[in-house]
Parts: sequence; C-alpha cells; structure tokens
Amino acid sequence: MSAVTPWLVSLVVFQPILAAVLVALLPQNERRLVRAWTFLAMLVNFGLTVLLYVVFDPKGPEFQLEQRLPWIPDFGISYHVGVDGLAVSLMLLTGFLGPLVVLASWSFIENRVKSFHLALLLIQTAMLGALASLDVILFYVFFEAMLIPMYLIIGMWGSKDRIAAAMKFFLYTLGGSLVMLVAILAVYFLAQPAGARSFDYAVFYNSLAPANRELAACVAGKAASCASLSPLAMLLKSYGPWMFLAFAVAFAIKVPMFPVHTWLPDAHTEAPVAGSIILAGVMLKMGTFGFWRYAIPLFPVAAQQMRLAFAVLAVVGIVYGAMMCLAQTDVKRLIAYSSVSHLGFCMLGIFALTAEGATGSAYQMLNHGVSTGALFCLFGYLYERRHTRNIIDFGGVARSMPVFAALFLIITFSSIAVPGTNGFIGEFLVLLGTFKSTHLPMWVGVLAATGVILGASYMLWMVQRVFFGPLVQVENERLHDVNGRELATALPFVVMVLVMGVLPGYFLDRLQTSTQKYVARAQVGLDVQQRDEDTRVTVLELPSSAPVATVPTGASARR
Amino acid sequence: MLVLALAFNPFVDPFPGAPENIAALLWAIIALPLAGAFLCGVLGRFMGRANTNFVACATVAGSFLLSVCAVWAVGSQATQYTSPASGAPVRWALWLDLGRWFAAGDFSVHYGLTVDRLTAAILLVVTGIGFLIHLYSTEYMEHDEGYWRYFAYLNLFVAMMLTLVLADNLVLLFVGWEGVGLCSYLLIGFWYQDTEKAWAGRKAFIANRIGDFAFIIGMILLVLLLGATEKMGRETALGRTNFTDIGRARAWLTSLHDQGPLNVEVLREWATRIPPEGPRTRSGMNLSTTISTEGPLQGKTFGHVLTAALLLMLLGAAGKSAQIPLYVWLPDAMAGPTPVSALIHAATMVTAGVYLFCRLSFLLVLSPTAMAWVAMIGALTAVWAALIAFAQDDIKKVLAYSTVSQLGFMFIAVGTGVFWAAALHLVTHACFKACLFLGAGSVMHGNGDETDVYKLGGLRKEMPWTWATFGIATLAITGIVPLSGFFSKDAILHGAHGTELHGIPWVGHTVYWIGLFGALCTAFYMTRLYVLTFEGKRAADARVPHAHESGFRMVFVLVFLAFLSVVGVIWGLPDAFPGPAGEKVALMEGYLAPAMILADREASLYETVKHLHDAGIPWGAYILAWAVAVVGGAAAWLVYRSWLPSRGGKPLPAPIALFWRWARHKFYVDEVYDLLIIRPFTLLSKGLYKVVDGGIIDGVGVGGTALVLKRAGAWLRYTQTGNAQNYATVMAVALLVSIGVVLTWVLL
Amino acid sequence: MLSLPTLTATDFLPLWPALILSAGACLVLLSEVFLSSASRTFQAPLTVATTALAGVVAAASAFSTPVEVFKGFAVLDPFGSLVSLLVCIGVGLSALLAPAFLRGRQAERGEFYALLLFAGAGMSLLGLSNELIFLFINLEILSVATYALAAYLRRGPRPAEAGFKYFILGAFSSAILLYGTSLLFGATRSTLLPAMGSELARVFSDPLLADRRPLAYCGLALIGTGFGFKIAAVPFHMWTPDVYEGAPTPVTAMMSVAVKSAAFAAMVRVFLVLGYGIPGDALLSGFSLLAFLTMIVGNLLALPQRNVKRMLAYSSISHAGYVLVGVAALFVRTGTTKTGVLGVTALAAGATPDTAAALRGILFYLLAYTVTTVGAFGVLGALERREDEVRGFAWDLDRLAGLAQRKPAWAFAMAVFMLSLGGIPPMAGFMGKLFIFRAAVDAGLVGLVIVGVLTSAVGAYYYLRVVVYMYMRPAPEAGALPERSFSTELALAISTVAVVVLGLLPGITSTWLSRGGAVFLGR
Repeated sequence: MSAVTPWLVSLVVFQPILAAVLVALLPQNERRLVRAWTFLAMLVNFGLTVLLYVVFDPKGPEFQLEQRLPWIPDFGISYHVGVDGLAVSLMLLTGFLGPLVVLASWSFIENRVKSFHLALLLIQTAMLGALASLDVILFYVFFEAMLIPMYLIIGMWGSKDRIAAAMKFFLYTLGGSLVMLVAILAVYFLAQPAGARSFDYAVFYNSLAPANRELAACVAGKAASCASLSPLAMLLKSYGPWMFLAFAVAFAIKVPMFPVHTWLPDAHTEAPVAGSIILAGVMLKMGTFGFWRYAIPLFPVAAQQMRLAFAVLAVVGIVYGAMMCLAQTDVKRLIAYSSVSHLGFCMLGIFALTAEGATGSAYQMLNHGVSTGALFCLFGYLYERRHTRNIIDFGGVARSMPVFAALFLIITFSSIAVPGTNGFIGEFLVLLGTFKSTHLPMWVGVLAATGVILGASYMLWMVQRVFFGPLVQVENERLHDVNGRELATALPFVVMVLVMGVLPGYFLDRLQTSTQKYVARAQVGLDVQQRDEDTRVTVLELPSSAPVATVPTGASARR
Repeated sequence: MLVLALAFNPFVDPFPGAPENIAALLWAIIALPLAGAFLCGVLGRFMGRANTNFVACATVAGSFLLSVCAVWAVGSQATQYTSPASGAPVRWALWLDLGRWFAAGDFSVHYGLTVDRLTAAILLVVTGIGFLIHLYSTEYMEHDEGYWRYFAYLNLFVAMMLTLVLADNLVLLFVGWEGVGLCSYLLIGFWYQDTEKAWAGRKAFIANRIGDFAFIIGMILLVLLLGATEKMGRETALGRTNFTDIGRARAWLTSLHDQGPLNVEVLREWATRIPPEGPRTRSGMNLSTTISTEGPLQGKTFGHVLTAALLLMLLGAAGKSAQIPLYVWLPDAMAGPTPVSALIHAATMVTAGVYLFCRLSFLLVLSPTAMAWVAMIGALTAVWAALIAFAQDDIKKVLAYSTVSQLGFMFIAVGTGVFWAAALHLVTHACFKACLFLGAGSVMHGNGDETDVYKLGGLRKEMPWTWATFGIATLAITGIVPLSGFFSKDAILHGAHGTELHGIPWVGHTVYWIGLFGALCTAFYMTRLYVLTFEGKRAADARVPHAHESGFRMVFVLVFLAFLSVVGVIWGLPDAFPGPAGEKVALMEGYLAPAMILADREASLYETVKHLHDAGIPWGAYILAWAVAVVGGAAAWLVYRSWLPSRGGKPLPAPIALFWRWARHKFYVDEVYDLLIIRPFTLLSKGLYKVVDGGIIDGVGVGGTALVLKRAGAWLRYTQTGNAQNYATVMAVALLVSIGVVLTWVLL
Repeated sequence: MLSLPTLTATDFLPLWPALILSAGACLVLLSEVFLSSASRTFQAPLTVATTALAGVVAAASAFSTPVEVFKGFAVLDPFGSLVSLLVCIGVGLSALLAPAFLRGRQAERGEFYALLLFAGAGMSLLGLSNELIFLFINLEILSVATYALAAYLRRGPRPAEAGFKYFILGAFSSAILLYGTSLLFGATRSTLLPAMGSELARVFSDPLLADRRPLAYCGLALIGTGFGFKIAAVPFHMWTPDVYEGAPTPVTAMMSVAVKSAAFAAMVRVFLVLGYGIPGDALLSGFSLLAFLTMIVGNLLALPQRNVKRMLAYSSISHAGYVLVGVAALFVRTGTTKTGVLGVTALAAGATPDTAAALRGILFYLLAYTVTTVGAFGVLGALERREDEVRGFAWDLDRLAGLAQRKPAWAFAMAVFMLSLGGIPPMAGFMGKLFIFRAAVDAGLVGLVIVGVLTSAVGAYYYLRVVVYMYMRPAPEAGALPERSFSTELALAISTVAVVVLGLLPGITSTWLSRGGAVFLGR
C-alpha cells in the first residue's frame, strides 16, 4: 500500500485519460465497444476513488496522500496533489457518478459516440484534478480545462438551442475565472519576497495568514494594532476586498449564486442527460469548493466584512430559485433552478462560519450531487421516450411507468429534504449553523427555512403534473417502463439517498477535520484564543531547490 | 381487550422478566411494519393479494404484541431506568440507545427510543387500532388492484407513527413527524388518476410543511437556548450553587454533547434548572435572565425565547393536527380511502400535535403565554370546525370537521395543563372516531361509494351492524353519560374550568364556555349525520336500490371498536382509583402521573398553572355537560325528523339560510387563502422570472454586454476603408499627436 | 580617412543563421536555373532543412556570452539568437505549408522559397543588429522580400492590391523610421545603440544639453512609429487585415509570426538600450497606451468578423497587444510614479521589476503564438478553394462548417489552435498569457493585465465560434476537400503537438528561455 500511496491520487486523476487513449484507438463505428470500454474505465475509476476514500484517514492530518513533482520550477509552479476530507468526499461523488453517467446515456447518444465518451473521460480527469490539486495554477488549469469538454458536450449533443447555451456557459465561466487569475497573480506577487515565490497552496495560505491576523485585529477595532500594520497587512487592507471579490465572482458564477446564475438553466436545459448530471453533480461543487478552499481562507477578513452580503445573496438564491421553479413550464429548467435553490443552502452554510453550517454545507454538496444528478438522470429517460420537456405534455405517467414513478418520487423526497433521506441532514445542519452563527441576523435563517416549504411546493407541483392525474395524451399511454439498464442506473442513486440519510456518520467523519480547519481559517480574528497552528496549512516540505522564481539575471556587464 | 385493560392498570403484578429485554427489542416495534412496507411495496405485486394482506396485518400485529409487552413492562413499578442525561433514575420507562445518528459541532442526535407511560397509551392506540384497520382494509380494498401499494403505504405509515411516538429526541420525532405526513400524502393521493385527489394530497403535504418549517425553527431555538444556558452556566458558576447534585450538573453538561440538546431527557433536565423567576433559582439563572452569550439570542430573556419556540411548535402542531390556521387540508384529505381516513386522519397522525405537547409538557408549563395560545387556538378550532360541520352533506367531510373540532378539545386540555385528559380524549376519540369512519366506510361500501347523506337514509334496517356500531360511536362522541366520550370530554372541560394560568386567569373560564358550546354543536351535527344516514326512509336518488351489509372482517372491526368506545369509560371514571398521591383519581390520570410528574411539580412549585380541585365529584358540572349533549342531540333530531320535513320545500328563514350558505362553503377560508397568499406569490414568481431573470440579468446584463461589444466592433470596422491613403493619414496623425503631446509635455 | 575594419572569426559567429539561410536561398535560386519546370518537389524540403539547420545553430549559440561584433554593429547575445530561432521556426513551418498551396495554383517556383529564406535572413539579422543603419538595412531586406511574397500570386487582384498597399505603407513607415534615426543621430552624434544610450543618459541628466531633448523625444517617437507599423500595433495596424487577407496564406502565416517576432525583438532591443537613460515614465506611458489600444481595438475588430482569415489578422493585432503588455513591463522603474489603468498600482510599491522574467514572457509568448498561428493559417490555407477567393468567400466561417465530420484531424488541430489563441488551458497560449501577465503584475501593471484578461474573454468568443462551426454545425454540402498533402499535415501535426506540449510542459523551454533575459545592454 505505502508504496502506491504517493501515486494513488495521481492514478485516480489520470486513469480516465489513460483509458481515453485506449478508447480513442477503438474503431469509430464500434459503438457498443466504445460504451463498454468507457463504462469499464469509469467503473475502475470509481473503484479507485473508493480506495482513496478508504485509505484517507479521518483522524489523520488535514491533507493526506500528497505528491509533489516539479512542473514549472522557475515560476514556482509544481505538480502538487493531495486530498483533504472535503476533496476526497467530492472525488468519491465524482467517481460514483462516472459509470452512472455512461449508463444513463447508453441509448441517449447515438451519433459521434466515440468523441462523446472521450469527452466524458476527459472531463472526469479535469474534475478530479481540480479537486485534488494543491497548487493554485494546477487547480486553475484543471478548473478551466473542464470547461472545454463540457462545452463540447452541451454544444454537440445538446438539444435545439444548444450552441447559444454552450457559448453562454463557456463565456460566463471563463470571464469570471480570468479575473480570478489576476488575483492569483497578485497574491503570488504579494505573498512572498522575490526569489522565493511559489504558487503552492500552502505557501499561499501560510504567507498571508500572519498579515490576515494583524488585519483582523485592526478591523476588530484595536486602533493600536492598526497603527503598526506590516506592509503586507496594509496592502491586504486596501486590496484584500478586491482580490476576494475576484475569487468570489469566479466561484459564484460556478456555483451559481444569484444574480450570476442565468447560464445554468440554459446549460441544463440544452445539455444531454450526461451533461446535466455532471454539471449538477460535480461541476457546480467546484464553486462551493473554491469558496471553501481558496476565496475565504485566503481573505478571511474581507470575507467577514462581506459576509452578510453573501449570506443574503445565498438566501435570495434559495427563495428566488424556488420562486423561479414555480414559474417554469419546462421540467429540466425547473430542476436547474432547484439547483440554484439547493446551492443557496451550501453557500449559506459556508458563510455561516460555524461547524454545523460548514458540515451541513459540505454534506449538502454531496446530497445535491446525488439527488439532483438522479433527477436529471431519471428525467433523461422520460425525455428519451417523449422528446419533450414541457410539463403540460405529461400527466398520468405514473400509470404507464409505475416503477419509474416510484424511483422519481423517492428522489423527489430526498431533494425536498424529507427526514430519513440525505437531504434532511444537510439542510437541517445548515439551518442550525445559520441560526447559531454569531454575526448573521436571525431573519436570514428564517428566510432560508422557507426553502423547506417552497421546495416541497414546486417539486410536488411538478411531480403532480408529470405523474398524476388522468392519462390524457396518447403518447403517454404507450410509454414502456424502465428497462433493466435504466433500473441499474437509478438504483445506486436511491440506495445512496437512503444510506446517506440513515448512516451519515461514515461520510461526516471524513469531513470533520477539514470542517474544523475551514471554520478556524474563516474565523481568523473572530475567535480570540486561536493559535497560529490551528489554521496553518501543513503539507510536504517544499523541495529545497525548486520551486523558486527566477532571480533577475537582468543586464550582463560590458566585457 | 383484557390485555388492554391489564396494561392500563398500574396495579397488576410486576411484569415477568427483566424490562431490559423488552427495551432491547424496542427497535423491532418499528422495524416490523417497515419490513412489511418493503415486502408489500417491492414484492407485493408478485406475492399476490392474500400474502400481501397477511404480511401487512402480521407485521402490525407483531409490533402490537411487542408494544403490549413494553406497556406491561412500564406498567409495573419495578421498571426503572437511569436517565441518559442526568444519570438519575426515572420511573416506569424503557430506553434504548442505538447509537449516534449524526453530529456536527457540539450538536448531535442519537437513534434513541424510549417508552414511558404516555408513550404506552399512544403506542397501544397506534398498533392496536392500526391492526384493526389493516384487518378492515383487507376487505375494504379487495377490489382495488393497487392493494400492494396501499398496504405498503399503510405499513410505512405505522412504522413512521411508531418512530414519532417512540423517539426520545425531537429530531428523531421529526423523522416520524414528516414521515407520517409523507405517507398521508401518498395515501390521500392513492387514487392519483383523479386529479382532485392528487391535489388534495399535495395540499395536505404543503400545509404540513408550513407547520414543519415552524417546527424546525422551534427545535433550533431550543438548541440555541440550551447552548446559551450551558455557556452562561460555565460563566455564572453553575457548579458552585448549593444544590446537592453538582455531579448531575456536570453529567448534564457532558450529556449535552453526547445525547445532543434535543433529547427529551436533556430538555427535562434543563427545565428542572430553569425556574420562571425569583428566589427559587438554584443555577443562578431563571427564565427572566437575559441571555448574555454572543449570538442571535443575545439580549433576549430565556423566557421569551422559550415562549417563541413553543409558539413555533404550536404552529407545527397546528399543521399536523389540523388546527386554525392550517386545518384546511384535513377535509380535503378525505379523498383517500376511508380506512386511511380512520387511521391517519382520525386516530393517530392528527393527534401527533397533542402528543408532542404532552411530551414537552414540562416545557409548556414554564410558559403560561404559550399555554394560553394553545388553549385559545384549540377552543376556537373546536367551535369553528363544528360550525362548518353543520352544513356539510358529505358523510366523510362531516366526520373530518368533527375530527378537527375534537382535536381542538384536546388542545384545550393541553393548553390548560390537564395533559392526562388530553391523552385520555386522544385514546377514546381514537376508538369512537375510528369506529365512525369505518362505519362510514362500510356505508360507502354497501352503497356504491355514495357519500352524500341526502342520497342515503334509512340504512338502519339494511345495515344493522353498521347502524348499531355507528349509533354507539355517535353517542360516545356526543358525550352521553355511560360512554367513554362523556368522561374524556368532561375531564377536559372540567379541568379547563378549574385552571388558572399565571398572569392570564381568564383563559380557563373562557375556553370552558367556548368548549361547552362546542360540545353542543358536536351533539347537533353528529346527531344530524346519524339521522340523515340511518333514520327515515331510503332516499329516492340513492345510487344502489338496496344497500348490503359489509362482510365479517369489517363488521368485526366495527363491533370491536364500538365495544372499546363503550368500555373506554373505565379510564375516565373520576374518583375511581387511588392515585400515586393517595387521593382517588381517574384511572388515566393516575396512570400517566409518572410521565407528567415533572410538569405537575413545576406547575405547582412555580404556580404557573393552578388547578383548583373541588373535593368530590362535581355533580353540577356533569349534569350541565350531559344536558348540553342531550339538548344538542334532541335539537338535531327534531329539526331533521320533524321540522324540516314538515316545512316541505319552503325556503329556510333568511338568517339561517345565510349562515347555512357560509357554513356550506367553509366560510370561504380556502378562497381567502388562495386570493391572499397563493395567487399573489405565483404571480410574483412569474413576474420575477420575466422581469429579473429574463429582462434585467439576461437581457440587460448579459445581452447588453454582448450587444455593446458587437456594436463597438462593427463601428470600428468603418475605419477599415481599405484605402491606403487613409491608413497612412491615420498613422501620420497618430504620430504627430504623440509627438505634439511629448513635446508640450517636455517643454512645459 | 577610411580604414577597413579588421574582422575576427568571432565577428561571424552571430551571422551563421543568416548566412545559412541566405546560402539556402541561393541554392534554391540556382536550382531554378538548372532545372526543368517538372520536378520542384525538393525545394520545399530544402528550404525546411535550411531553416532547421539555421535554427539549430541559433539555438546552440544561445549559450554564448554576449559580445559585440563588427565594431558594435551587431551583437551576439542569447536574446538575439533566440529570436533567430523563433524566426527559423516560423519560416520553416510556413515553408511546409507552401507546396500544397502553390501546387493548387500552379505557382510552384523557386523564387518563392528563395524569398522566404532571404526574408528569414533579414529577420534573423534584425534580431541582433545593434546599430540603427544596420538595423534599417536588415529591416528593408526582410520588407522587400515580404512585399514581393505578398504579391507573389500575380494573377488575382487581391494579391496585387495587398502587395501594393503593403509596399506603399511599408515604405512610409521605413521612411519614418529612418527620419527618426537621423533625428536621434542629431541628438546623440552616433548610430551605435550603446553609445546613443549613454549619450541620451547624458542628454537627460545634463541641463546644458536640455535643448537636445525634444530632438531625442521626436526621434524616439518616430522610431516607435516605424516599429509600431511592423508589429501592427494600434493605430498603425490598419494595413494588417487587407494585406493578410490578400497575401497567399503561407505568406500571411510567415508575416504574422516571423516578421512580427523579429520586429518585436528589434524594438525591444532598441528601446531597452536607448531607454535606460530616459527619466520618468515616458516609455512606460507610451507602451502602455499602445498595449491598451491594441488589445481593445484588435479584439473588438475581430468580434464581428465572419471571414476567418481577416479574423485571424485582427487577432494577430490583439496578440501584439498582449506582447506589448510585457514590453511595457520592461520600462517600469523602481519608484515609478505613474498610476492608473495605464500605470502601476501601489501593489508594486517598492518592488523591483523583473526585466528578465518579462523578456522570457515575451519570448515564450512569441513562441507559443508562432506555432499556434502558423497552424491556424495552415488549416485555413488547406481548406480554401481558388474559385471562392474571387468572391472573397474563401475564408467564410461556413467553409469550416461540419469540418469535424469531414476532416476530424484537421478540425481537432484547428480547435486546439483556437483554444490556444483564446488562452484557455491546457494550451500553449494560456501559458504564454500566464507568463506575460505574471511579469506585468510583478511590475505592478495590474490595470493593463485586467484589461488584458477581459479582452481575452472577449476574444474567446470569436475563437470559439470557429469551434462551433467545425463541431456543432452540420456540413453544408459534401464539398470537395483539397487532397491531403504530406507537408501541410506534417506542419499541422508539428504545431498541434507543440501547442499541447508547450501548454502542458512549458518547463521544457526554460533551458533556453532562462537565457532570454540576457540582452546586451552595453552598460
């Protein structure tokens, strides 16, 4: 084991791409073969993520299974991967969805099958890589790279308005993340003296931490501490908010938070079933993950200053998203907006800055991945049969497809957080954390709690229109119920919903350490008896030689 | 039945065998129906009808037997267990901790089950009546091809209800709480092909969700409250205070982290340490203490927060137990199969709110304000629903409103601190209301699912058994002397009459008189229902010419329930049995005393609730109550047997007609809700979708940017004339300008 | 009293690449004389081989220590050598594109390759000329060759027009450059850059010489304009679309990469050497303004373009803008006072700008840009059909529609190039931007960098539109595709691989680029 361990993460990350090479060698027209191979590869990948999850020690240090190789040494960029509790959980989710995505689009994708599956494998690697990377540039590369396959998936295999949707998706996200790039460079430039600069996450955080403390003390109102700010703290004081915003906007678009959410409905609506599942399942989590890993820990003071604003945006997301759902006539659009609402809970939990809130938020990320992924997957089957997304075209489907209806109903209940399903634990903890949080007024929590009512009303409204009532349309009478493959795809979701609802402990204990650390880092300055080592990021020691930025070799002397 | 009586008798010989063994089996009480639900749901279609019926009934019967054992165990004085919170022994209860469910920060929840005497009473109702109704359903549903779904749902419901009842902490209780709501959603919409029925199911779920929204916040407030207490307890030296059990205090503090703040025992311990005010404080804190710990509660007093939490719980209970303002879903819920109405919407689920407040009695008595609210809501609902019931012609609708009204009575009891009476009425009501509903079901069964009372009539001869049982149950609910309904209802009214809430003394009398009026109405509309259905001659436009009596299984259940609603009387007989304190009390009161002991102690200690006990049996009150019932019944009889027929088709006097029309339309409450809340919200949503999402963000923001850029580009293209001279000119101009700038800049 | 200069062997070291290229050119020409018109197939390989050889030599000489040669007319320094390497790569790849293109138009003749090679020689000399007259001559060598190449296809109206425009305007700009030279000579009494640099320093430090300053400023401005034309910086860019569109596609490729690189190199050298003595932020402001305008106007102009070739022309303008950001970063001095979008932010307070990093950034960017753009033009050239050119329809987006089904490999390559041009990881273009922007932020030019990232977000739109057409639009008709040509596909393969590899492992270039910072400043 120990011999493999340093390579395990890399293996998990790059195994899909290696498989993609094999798949690429398969003949174009051998569709079944391509599907089978991809499925197999995804299965292996899932196995690897499970292994990773098991190997990860809940009681161990924050970051585990690290590996660092020099990449662009003279710019202080290294290939540094490793996982903490949240990352490993989200990677497990990614691995879990992989094979299901392939199964779900088994008969959905009929043209250009090979390129489709290649795209799937590529995106898998990109997502896993983004989660696993501990070097900011590495993260950025993966973070951007995952746009391309998703862009192609939406644009090539989507429905009618796919091109516009794909374009919107790409530009929205790119625009945001490019601004983040500037902030990254600025931090890189600020954080360390010339010559010792590095993009390593640990260096990023640890070099900013002391300044953040000073600044926090200053902001907390100890005038004396403001007088004696170190230059870095001074810079953070004036530029920190802007850098935080640069990060925050990039991730907020990805989440998506109100008001930068409008790419999501289009993307989801037009995307093929696989695209929707991946998008909802994992890609949106990159936003919340980014807040959790980068935006807030790097600029805690700025985050605390803008905390209320973001919490309010999150709550608006919850309520507004739900209201949008009530206004929809298109099932996929409705589910997409429900994602906006659910992710609102995640963001609220993150900005509550309490252990309960953070845990709930992290758990909600996993839940949303499972339940909304399942919703898209299931509706995909219906779409395959009817080729329409309009609610009015359905009705009474439960009669012609009882098993399907049952599955859909269970997932629905998980999505509206009925206790006993996974959704409840996440939502309850987030609400608890929000109420507990010392700096958010109570009405924030109350408004967020209305999501409990609204969620039920729109989801059941949709279920009502689609499944219940008399069979009016002839097409709906002739629908055949789910076949074995579809059942096999849906059952894992159902099982996960129940398992995560009844035995959450197994998932929560992996999250514990990173939750504590996150809260500690976000609360720099808020809680007084905090010591430096509570928040310090400890990773592999930087190799003595690399990574170190170039020393100016400027002009050479006249001979 | 024998078992039942024995179980309720605290003075039987101690339970043979160690209570721990029963405690260790508590999980099975829930697991059995759950397994049944799984089997019926997944394999039901393949098992065939008979097997499904068997599985469904057998599992419930199994958990009934287990419950009997548990009840028996807590019935004997031997049963003791040490409270997980305080380490102090609590009498007459079983407890089973199946380990942690989830935890985060300093919040945690366990899978903890407990049976005390309150649980015991409800437990028997749920499993016992649950079993009977399963039995009844096997015949009632024999022509429906969805039987396997039906029994799966029904079993699931029982499991959830049991979770609700057995849970030892509020979060687990909430699982059952929402679980039963879920099952009722499924069962109301059981015939989902009928859009009406399906929507009724959704309506029920949403109404419940509104309650649950409040419930969740209430729970969270309690968590915050305990957290604040703990923090301040650390600051203000809880340890130094003189009370003997510093160890207990510390145990309590640690247990907060172990069992989690929402564990009932933990709440109990907390309640014992937070007196309302003044000198009695031992922990240095009381309800009038201002919370000083940083957080949303800062600056508010413990008392206010507690009241707020309880009022939120009240809203939650109003959702579940169909009280004002959330009662509107229950009448529509009659869309479900009739046995479901009997089990869920009469006997068990809708009483969850009452159960909740009995569970939290020790908190409730700390806040007279909250109690007053509960009582008033209950009283108003009791009358309001009864008035609506006057004018309903649908047999099930009448029963539904009567249920709402009866639940109102229970709330009165809870609100005035006579918890045992609430529990008692809960039990008796479960018996006779189930009997009524099943009777109605039998009527529908025999009359081609006819529910309009004006299309029935004269069933007395055609359906003797149904007639007899329905009659007995009607007498029971109207409160005619020898039947259970009389004593339970009178216990409530009497208790309410003699109650003085600290600071709000008028509540007791007010609700008493309102309740009395409610009783009058009850007698009227129930008699009306009975008369129209069974007396007189068969309606001309009946759906089937001749009704047929139902088969054995249904009749048996009816008879059994009628029997229960007669003998239920023994639990309510006042001054019958010596209670724990020595003086003679009603059987139920004595039996529940251990469960309510803390509430009573606080009530008397802090004088938040005064019960003025007049010695001996209050004959006056009894006669009054009895008279009320008789008058109401007689009035209805006269009106519908002689007065109305005698008038022939002549229209009613104007005021009555007006009232009639309003009552028939349920006082237009649904319409008002729709107009004031639902429509505006939907419109707002649609508007926002068009304006904000489509217009501002996408149109102006995204589209605008794209447009501006494209325009700028297109405009710049005009500079590309393709004419070399122009290009040269531009270059030259640019050059000259730059030189000019530079030079001016240098020379100045 | 004129005395012949005594030349040592070392004096010829820097010339080797140029000499090889010229020799190759002569060889090709000679072959024309002796050859029947039948088999010219070896000319392209010969050209490529020549460039390859020259490139290797240049790469090797990147490790020598900077020396002046020819009495300081030229220098041998790593920066110059790397530029000639870039030039060789650009020319070589473009030469690979040529055969199929020329064959398609019955225009296979040796002059073409000869001209390419002569131009290459001029460029590689331009990169290392250290004296303004010498620089001007090299500039003219490459310009004249390029004029001819632009008009190489005499038949169609467009090439002639293109060549003519290019010639007129090019002459104009050369004249300006020359005029600037003379003014500077007036101000400094010298044309050797180091000497001029030190003299200028005196001029700007010594109050007695204050009257020469306007002269110096005007000279610098004029020279800047001259270079601004060659690198197609706004507002001296207007010729670009017309010429790029009109010129034969391989030539366009060569112009847009090699010429640009060489011109950039020369400009950087001139202003680095002359500029150090000039106080204040004159140069910073000038280049920031150029970069600002170029990035914005270039991208905006490209936005509405349906004609891909024109679009690439505009995009080449915008990329010049990004390189200019790096150039501007060269002229940030410690304690620069200028702030705002065009200046430095207080982030840079007390920071020492890292010139070496900026130069490396510029070189890497030019490298990435070279391989990408040549590839893009290659695909375009392979797709265009003669009959369409007349209607100017040859490069419309529709010609690319459904390419993914018709020629998956080409579509993939084109997609890679577009993503790289759009600066999206993991392509070379992203790393180039990363390095440039990193240097700029180091220097404190955050404002410019923000403009840069925003405009590149705009750029992503029109690059992606190409991908849309190739992958998401159905093929209009089974249009007869040009026959496959080995050399073209080789070029495409090389550039694709290069783009991806440079994107994933930019570190592999560091051995050379780390030398890139070494510019001979003569101080």
